[in-house]
Amino acid sequence: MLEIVNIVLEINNMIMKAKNLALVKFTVAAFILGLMGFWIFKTTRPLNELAYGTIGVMLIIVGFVIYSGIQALKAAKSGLNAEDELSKKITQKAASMAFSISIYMWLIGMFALDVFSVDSVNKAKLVIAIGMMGMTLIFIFIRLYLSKVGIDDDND
Amino acid sequence: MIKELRAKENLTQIELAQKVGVRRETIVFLEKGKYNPSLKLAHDISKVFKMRIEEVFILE
Repeated sequence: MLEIVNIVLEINNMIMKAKNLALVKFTVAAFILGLMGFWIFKTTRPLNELAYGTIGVMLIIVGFVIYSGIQALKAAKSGLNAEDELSKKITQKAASMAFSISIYMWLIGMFALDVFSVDSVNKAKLVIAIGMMGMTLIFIFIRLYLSKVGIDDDND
Repeated sequence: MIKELRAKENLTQIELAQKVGVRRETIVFLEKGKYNPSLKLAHDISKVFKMRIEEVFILE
């Protein structure tokens, strides 16, 4: 009897955690969308290709955050854990892979900007913006890919 | 192995996942042999089937 009560309490705890996680993710998505809306509304210059590219990347990031929030809600609905040891390992592996790949991306980015004639302040801004968005995109794609194929950690 | 044991116990993937506190995808990858569980998870799964770890998980 005590064991059943314990299991029920544990499942309840997992559901609460999953719901909280979903709430955090939806809040983050709303915050990003709000900031983006504010930026578009506030800017006085007409939007160029770079701005549209940035908006596109931000929408992909928001989409990913909303998708993971929905997954957490679904887990809560089925009484499952939203984050377990496999999902944590996948996140860690995706983060480390994204970091390794981004080192080369930063180098290519800096080289490419050296080729084009951009003034130094804008150049620094561009390198940082492209680098950060690139890292996030690489992380999202690897994270989604590993979630589909799993991780073969035999050789890790 | 887990798939057969689960079928024997009439457990769905979701039910097993609920019992051991993981996501359903983790059970899917375990059944496909695409994920090596932690010692704790291996212990919890073996406990569900009332077997020893080495009877459920074979090191290949």
